[in-house]
Amino acid sequence: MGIKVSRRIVLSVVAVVAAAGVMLAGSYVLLGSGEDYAAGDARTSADGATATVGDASSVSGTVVSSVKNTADLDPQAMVITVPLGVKLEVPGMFYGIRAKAPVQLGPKGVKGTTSDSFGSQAGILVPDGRHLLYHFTRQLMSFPSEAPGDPVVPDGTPMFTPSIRVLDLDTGEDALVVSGARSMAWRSDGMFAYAAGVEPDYRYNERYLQRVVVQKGLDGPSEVWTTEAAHYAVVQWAGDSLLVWRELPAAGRELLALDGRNKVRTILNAGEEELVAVSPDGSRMLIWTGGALQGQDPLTLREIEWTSGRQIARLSLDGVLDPASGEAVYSMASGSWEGDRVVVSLTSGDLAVLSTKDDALTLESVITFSYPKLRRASIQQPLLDGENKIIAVTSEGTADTEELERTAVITYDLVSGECSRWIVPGTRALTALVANPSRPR
Amino acid sequence: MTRSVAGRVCSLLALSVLLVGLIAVVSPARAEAAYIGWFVYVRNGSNDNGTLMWKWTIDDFPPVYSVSHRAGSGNAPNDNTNGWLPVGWYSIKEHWNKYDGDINGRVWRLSNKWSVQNPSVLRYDLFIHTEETPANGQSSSVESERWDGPSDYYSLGCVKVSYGNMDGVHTRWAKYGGSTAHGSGSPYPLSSKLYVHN
Repeated sequence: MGIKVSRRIVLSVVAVVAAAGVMLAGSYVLLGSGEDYAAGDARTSADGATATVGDASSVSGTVVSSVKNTADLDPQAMVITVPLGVKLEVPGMFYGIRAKAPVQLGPKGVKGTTSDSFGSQAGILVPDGRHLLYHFTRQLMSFPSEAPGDPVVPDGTPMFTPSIRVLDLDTGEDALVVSGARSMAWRSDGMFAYAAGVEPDYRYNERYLQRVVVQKGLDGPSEVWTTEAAHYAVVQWAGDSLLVWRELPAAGRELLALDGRNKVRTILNAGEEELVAVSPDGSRMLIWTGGALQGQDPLTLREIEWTSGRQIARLSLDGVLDPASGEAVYSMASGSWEGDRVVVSLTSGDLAVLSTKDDALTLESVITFSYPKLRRASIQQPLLDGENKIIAVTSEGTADTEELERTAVITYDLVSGECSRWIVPGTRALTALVANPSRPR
Repeated sequence: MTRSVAGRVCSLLALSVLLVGLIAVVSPARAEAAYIGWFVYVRNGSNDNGTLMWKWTIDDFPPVYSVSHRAGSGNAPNDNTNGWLPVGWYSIKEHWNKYDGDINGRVWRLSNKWSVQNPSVLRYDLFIHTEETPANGQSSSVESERWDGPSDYYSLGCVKVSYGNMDGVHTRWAKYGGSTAHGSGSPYPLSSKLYVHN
C-alpha cells in the first residue's frame, strides 16, 4: 500500500536539545513544542527518569527495564494465539480467566489459523461473557515463495477462506457463524457487524472484495449496509453508527461511518488522518495527522467530536524523539481510551499516555520498554483496563533474525511502575488481545 | 596519483560495456544481447532511507551491473501492517506508464506476501512508484501527484523513489532486462523480479 505519506524533516537532535536547554534523563529524550503542549503532570517514574520541557509544559519519561515474569495471564486480559513455524496450518488457543483452562480453537482436523489475515482484531467476547467470536482462516494452499525456480502459483488461485466462528466458553461448543467473512463488531444491544466476501475465498494476488453486513445476534436476519463491493474492515460501533475502514488500492484507507443500508459518511480521508481511539461513549475520536501522513506538518493528535467534526483539543508531538534511533516519532499505531485517559502505541515502540480531562489534550508520559530481546517497535495493541494498568502485547527475539522467538503479554501499572510479563506457554506463538466491549468503564 | 575505487569501478564498467558492445558488433554469429534484470530493495533499517537497485547481467554471465537510488518503504520499522516490505522475492504483476488511480504514472505492482514478523498478516496492494501525475508530470495542486522531498519516501509498504530518479529506474527496467510491455497481460506476471532484504 503506498499512499503519499511524508513527514517533517526533523532538525538536528543535538541542536534542538541544546536550544531547549533541557536536562535529559537516561536514554529518554522528549522535547516540547511550545504552544501545542498542554502542561503535563510531571511525575518521577520508578526509574527516576523525568524530563521537564520548557516553562510551559512538562512530561515524564519512563524507561521500563525491569520486568517480572508471571505464570498467569492478567485477569483482565484474554488472548488468542497463533502457533508459529507451522505455515499457519494449526489453529491456536484461547487464554483468559473466562476459560478455566486454555481452550483449543478452530474446527477439528482443518488446516488453518486463528487470526484475520488482513489484520483486524482477533476476537471479541460477547457481553454475555460466555461467547467468544473469533477469526478462523482456513488454509487452502501455501503461498509461493516467488523465488527463482520455485513453483509458480497462477493469480486467482484460491488460497484461504476467512471465517468467523463462535466458542461457547461454558460448554466448549465451537461453531461456524459465517464463512467468507472477516473483521467484526458487536454492539451492546446485540447488533453484529462483519465484512462478508463477495466470494468466500481469497484468491492469490486479487483484492478480497467485501460488503459490510449487519445482523441481529448471531443468527438473526442480516442486511447489507454497503452495496458497493470494496476492501472493508469493520472497526467498532460508535453509538448507533458503525465505523469501518475502506481501503483504497495502494493509497491508504478512509474511515467511514455507516448508519444503515448505503447510509455512508466519510469521517477521515485516506492519507490525511488516522484513527487512534474512540471515546468510551462513542462520541469522540482521537486521531493523528502530520508526521508520516502529511509531510510538512509535525505529528499531531486531534480530539474531535466526530459527528460534527468539531475539534475539541489538539496536541503536537513535534520534538518527541524515539530513544532508540534518536529520530522524531513519525507515526502511531492503535490506542485505547478509558475514562479521560488514552494510551497510544507509537511506532517507535513507546507508549504515550494522554489525558483528555477538561477538554484538553495533555501528554502525561511516554513509557519506553527496554529489556533483553524485546524487539524494536514491538509494543502492540495497548489496552487500558480502567485500573491504571496498561496491557499490551510484545514481540521478542534476537536482532539477527526477523523471526520471533516468542510473544508475551505485559501488564504495566501506571501508579506503581511495576511491569509483569506473561509468556505464551509451550509452542512459539503470536498473541493477540481479545476485545471485551463490556468490560467495566 | 591515486584514483578512487569508484573511479576505477566506473572505468572497468565502461570498458566492459564497450567490450560487450564491440563483440556484439564484430561477431555476426552472436545474437542481440539478452539482458536479465531484477530489482533489489535494501531496507537499511529505515523507512525513508532504503536503497532500490536495478541489477542486470548480459546473457546471464557476470559481471552483474547495478545502479542504485534512495527509496523508502512503510511508516513503521517492522514488516507488519503499514511497515516496510517483508523480505523475500516478489513477482511484478503489472507495469503501467500512465497509471491513473490513487497512485499515478509509472508503477509496478508486486505480488502479495505474508509478513515475516507477524506471519498471520498478509501484505497486499504493494507497488513501486513515485509521486507524479498520470502523465508523468508534477502537479501544483494535488499533493500525492507531486514529489515534495524526503518526507515523501514514507509509504504504507510500497517502495517509493523520488520523481527525479524515476526516469532512470524506468529506463533501465525497459532496456536492461525488465520489459517494455505495459498493463497486466502477457508477459506479466514476471517472476522473481524484486528481492527485498535488510
